[in-house]
Amino acid sequence: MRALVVDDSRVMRKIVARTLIEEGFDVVEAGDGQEALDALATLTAAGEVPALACVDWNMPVMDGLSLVVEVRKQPAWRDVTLMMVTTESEHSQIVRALAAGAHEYLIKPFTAEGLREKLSLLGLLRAELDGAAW
Amino acid sequence: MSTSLEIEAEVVTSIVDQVWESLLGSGAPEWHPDLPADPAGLAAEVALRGDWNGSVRVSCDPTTADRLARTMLAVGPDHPLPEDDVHDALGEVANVVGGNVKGALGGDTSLGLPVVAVRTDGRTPVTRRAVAWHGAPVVVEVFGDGDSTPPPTGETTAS
Repeated sequence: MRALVVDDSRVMRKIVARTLIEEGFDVVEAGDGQEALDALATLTAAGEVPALACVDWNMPVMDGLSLVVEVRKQPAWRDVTLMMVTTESEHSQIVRALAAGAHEYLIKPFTAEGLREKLSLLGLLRAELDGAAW
Repeated sequence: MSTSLEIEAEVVTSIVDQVWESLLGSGAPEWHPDLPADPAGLAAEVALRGDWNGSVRVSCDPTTADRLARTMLAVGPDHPLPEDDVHDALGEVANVVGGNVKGALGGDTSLGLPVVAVRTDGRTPVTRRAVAWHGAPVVVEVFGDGDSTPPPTGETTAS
């Protein structure tokens, strides 16, 4: 399975990607929302729509909430599971993200185990997918 | 706009402990109070704007910043690490601390993007936490409105 990690911090992208790769994902990275849309378009054209996108909120050019809205507008991306990974911890922000179409919400700082717990909730943990088609 | 919202030192300490544990895999013991804790070097700062105006700054010497980045990226000392990655890592620490300070403050406040620059002095923080990291201090400071002047020119964005 493929995952898209969207964060303006390269270091944070690597931290998120590390766990996703351990869980068997092929990871593509983007530095902001617009880069993510471009990457999604490229992947879609190649028939490789990601199963998961981990999205930071505060980014230059296009923020994560706007990205979630744009992704949800596209029928071709309706099966992309969207998880916000952000420092935005207020309840009102979580509600905004979920209302816009995000499936899950992970607050920074997080541990690898915390990320795995969210993947488990989303049914995307490798151990739980054994036997399923990858 | 007001600055009536307050952040308590204990809350900042708790946030720093949590960030260190999650991002760096270690505790954040307080730097010995009898030792100097004004590291010359890098500072990453994020602004908070809205019901509370101020900023959060994380600073340390360049060697410590390099070590922080290597820990976060899980790369050894023999692996070449671009300066951009060091700045990015310090910026992300400031971003995560700043985001959690924003959450603790409540109200309607937005978080800016981290900016990394050479550390400058002359401002008095609302609260300050110096922690020990591999034998050197890493200083986390929260500045209130009047002290939240933008970082000096020549800064680089963290990512």
